[in-house]
Amino acid sequence: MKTNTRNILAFALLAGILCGAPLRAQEEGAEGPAVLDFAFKYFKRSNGLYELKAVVTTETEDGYVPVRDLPIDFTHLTDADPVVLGQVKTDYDGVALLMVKPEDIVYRDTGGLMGFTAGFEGNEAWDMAYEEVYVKDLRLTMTAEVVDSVKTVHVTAHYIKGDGQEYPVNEQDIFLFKQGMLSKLQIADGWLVEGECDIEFPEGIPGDKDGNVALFVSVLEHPDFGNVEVSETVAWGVIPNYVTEESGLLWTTVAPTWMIVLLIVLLAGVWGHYVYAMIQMRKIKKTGPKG
Amino acid sequence: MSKPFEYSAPKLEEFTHDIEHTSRRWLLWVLLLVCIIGLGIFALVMQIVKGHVITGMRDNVVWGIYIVNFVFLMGVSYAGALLSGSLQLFRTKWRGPILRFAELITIISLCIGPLYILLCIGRLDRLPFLLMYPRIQSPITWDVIAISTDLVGCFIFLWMALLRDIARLRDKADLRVPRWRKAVYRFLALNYQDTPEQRKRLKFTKDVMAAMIIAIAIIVYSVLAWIFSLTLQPGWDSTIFGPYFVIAAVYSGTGVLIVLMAIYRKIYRLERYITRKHFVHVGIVLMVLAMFFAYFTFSEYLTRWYGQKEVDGRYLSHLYNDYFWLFIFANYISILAPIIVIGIPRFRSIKTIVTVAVISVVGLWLNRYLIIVPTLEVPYLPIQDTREAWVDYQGTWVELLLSIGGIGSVALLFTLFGKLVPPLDVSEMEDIEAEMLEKEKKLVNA
Amino acid sequence: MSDELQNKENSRRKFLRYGLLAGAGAVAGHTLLKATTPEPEAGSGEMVKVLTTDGKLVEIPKSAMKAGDAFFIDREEARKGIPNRKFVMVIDLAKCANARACTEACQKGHHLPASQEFMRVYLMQDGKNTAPYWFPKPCYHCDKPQCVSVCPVGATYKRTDGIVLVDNERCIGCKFCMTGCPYSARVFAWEHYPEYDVDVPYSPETSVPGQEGTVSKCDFCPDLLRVGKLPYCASACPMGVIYFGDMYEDIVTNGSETVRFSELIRDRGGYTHMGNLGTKPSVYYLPPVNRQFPVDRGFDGLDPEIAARYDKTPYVQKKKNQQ
Repeated sequence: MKTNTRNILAFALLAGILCGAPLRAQEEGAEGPAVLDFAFKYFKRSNGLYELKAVVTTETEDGYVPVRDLPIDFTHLTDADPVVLGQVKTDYDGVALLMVKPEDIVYRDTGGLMGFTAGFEGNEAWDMAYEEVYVKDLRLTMTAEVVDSVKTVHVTAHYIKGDGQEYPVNEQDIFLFKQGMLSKLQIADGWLVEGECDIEFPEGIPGDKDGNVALFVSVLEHPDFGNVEVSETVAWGVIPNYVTEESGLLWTTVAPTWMIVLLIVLLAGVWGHYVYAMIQMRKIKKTGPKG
Repeated sequence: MSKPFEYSAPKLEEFTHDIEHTSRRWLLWVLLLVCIIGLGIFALVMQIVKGHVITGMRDNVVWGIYIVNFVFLMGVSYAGALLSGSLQLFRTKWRGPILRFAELITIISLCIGPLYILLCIGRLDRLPFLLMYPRIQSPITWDVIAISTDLVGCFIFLWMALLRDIARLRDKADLRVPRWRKAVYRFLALNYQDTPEQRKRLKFTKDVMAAMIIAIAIIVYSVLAWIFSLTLQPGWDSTIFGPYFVIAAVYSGTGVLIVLMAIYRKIYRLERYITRKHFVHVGIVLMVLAMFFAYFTFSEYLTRWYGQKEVDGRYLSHLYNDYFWLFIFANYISILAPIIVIGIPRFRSIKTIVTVAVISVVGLWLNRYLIIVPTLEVPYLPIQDTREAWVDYQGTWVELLLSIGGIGSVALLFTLFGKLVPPLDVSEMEDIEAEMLEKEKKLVNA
Repeated sequence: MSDELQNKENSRRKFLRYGLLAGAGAVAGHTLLKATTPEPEAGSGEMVKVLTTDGKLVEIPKSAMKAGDAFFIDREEARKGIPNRKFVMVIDLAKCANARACTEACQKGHHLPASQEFMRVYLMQDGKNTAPYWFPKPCYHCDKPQCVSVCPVGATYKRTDGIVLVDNERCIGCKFCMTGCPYSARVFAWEHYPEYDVDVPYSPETSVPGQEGTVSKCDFCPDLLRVGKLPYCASACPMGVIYFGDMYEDIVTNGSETVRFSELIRDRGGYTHMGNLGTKPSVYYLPPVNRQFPVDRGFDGLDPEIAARYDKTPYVQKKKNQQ
């Protein structure tokens, strides 16, 4: 992924030289728009959609905090005017996210690079912010099957050039992940040769209660392809040995049986005597001479 | 033939004056007590309004003087139950003038003691939850059941113990008390006319209840000890806490009994009935208990010290270094004093016996303090805190006022009971006198 | 290549132009956006994975959630636990430098006053000649919890997912659990703190708002787990000290690194603190070997009030004597 930081830096430098004095004044004084910390990421999801994600934060005394409700404009670069993809406001976490359909990709350069931009035009409170991403469109597929009693994930990886043709990805690491509750765990890896590779699924990976494991094949933070993933769910996992709800223990809702029995016996014994004593007292009252 | 005890029984008439008349001194005394209790109530209101933050308790020492008072008063109560139960059951010869005190101690400290555990509770408004969502595994649930059972049992026993004296008061036509109080006597006396059948039945039932409350006292006080010893805290997780607490309770209760005997003797001028011999006899009980208590205390600390567990070491060094004098007083002086003073016949006098009784009572209170507070100051993970109150417990004025208020309440209840019944068990003492005369007659005949 | 570079140069110029026309672009973009995102009115198409109360992993638009009230779990529901989960925490003592980010994030997230810490950082030294180390201590969510055993009203309970929670609406404030816990994990609300004035419905899963006269403690943030987030402490730690996850799926993560729980414990010699007490903690520690920071780093930039906490430790005493 080419986040084109160098260009941004050059641009900022230029801007700094051109209007250095006023900019510096802005930074020093409390007045004027505050600087945004702007991150722009590309992620091609398993469902074939291109996810464009801008994360907007700003540095405060409490560290970096998300900037909310900021309109972020996304565009797709072409050889002519950029195509406006849309405007999304940042959410609670300062994230603006746009899903782009494959048919909305109208231009790839000869090498296959697609260009996307995300930007905020700036207002009274915030400085303008802008990032670009150039990435090649990677078509990743995965097939999970048992080959000679070995659980295997077959992966193909091709990218598209400007001519619309697919070319195999060669000599490239590829990783197999398992989806966890909070994150993905890398469980195996492979080496792509001529756009293909087989990854063996390791034994002893826990699945869910039906043994299902959601597998992901991903390329992450790749200089050419950015983030790309495909997924498939297979029943290859080991069903965990779930602990069933305990009962009749010290820390459970219901007490141990012996405790309940002992308590009842003790209470019955003692209160039985009380009742006996009260009956006797009643008899004392009854047997007394009248008047 | 010797006459070991003064068994001339008192007459009811000797005490009717105090029951009938309310002197100015009595009124002032009650007023003083009410003021003391009022201060306690003020402190309680402040605690409820401002929160427990105005007490000295904090996250490490979550239980302070309140629980010490609770454990102490409950101990005194159980001791009273044990003593009055066994005196009754075994027909101890010298029980006469002591029975009533033991019974009153039982019931009065049992009424006040549990109030202290309530003071520790953060949400008094949720107290019904104890009955609505009880968990049988919790020692607090055991305690709730145990204390309420004990309370009912002790009230039944006390009623039986007072029955004959009350019947006499009811029958005393010339007793000058308001009509409502006569009605109270009539109600409580249960139409008891001392017929042979009634007498026999009462005696038997009383014996049954006496046996019952002895058993309950032991169980209930063990339950209280288990509140501490069932946790994993270094100073508490001891297997001997049950019996240790029971012995400590009887020990402290006996001390309180001696003090009470001295006070009543003075106020009601009972010198004729409570003699040096009574003090010596209860004193010897105190001494024997002191020895048992010493044995348990030694056993407890020796085990902790010899084992050299890291946490136990920290706990003991905290006790020896930061609570040195309290430790010496509670576990040396207050144990040795009764053993030496009562053990050596030359030293025995009413004054000395009462003095060592006071020492042992104070020592026992401190012993409880030393069991509860320093333990909480030495948790497994050493306290790392800059807040003074989080590190070392120091009771505040709130806890002080409520403690004094508790003493005031106990005193007030004793005072009020004095208006209801005579300070000695007149009927029982008459029985004892009759028994004695019978025995004497037999001896003479032989 | 030069072709590509040319392209980029062009695009930047185009952006500058586009910036001037932003108003028009925004309108156009909005229609396009409606066509491409599954939740057009929400404005953001991100789906987040969420665990429902019956343990199903479902995807909902992130915009449908707000922090805090996304999944309100009532007191009855909070007793059940997330099905087929067993949560564990692993604390890597080799990486802790007492930055206190965990404590602060936790206090902020749970609306706690400064005097209440669910997560405390101790300066530990096991023996006279052993090295000191920083020791973050949450609630251990023991599998044999003494605190639960001794509670007289069932205000604190152990769930099937291993989490021990406190119901502040049930707690009577007897503090027995505080003496029952050998790890000093619990705190009591000695008064009403201003931090408790939060206008959100109470749930035992959030422990917010706190209540005067009741006991509370670290809750493993089940409200965050339900939306696939790490507890406050784990996500706040700049060193990645705190790993969290589900033992059944054998995965723990500190936010940046995801590893198998069993392998981490096996390879790094994981242990439980004072496991000899038989409490069976759900919090594991990795011993402070090959440490990334000297222990003194933990004092850097520390608030003097906080630093004074450690004054009585043998290590600080020794250092003071040497000076």
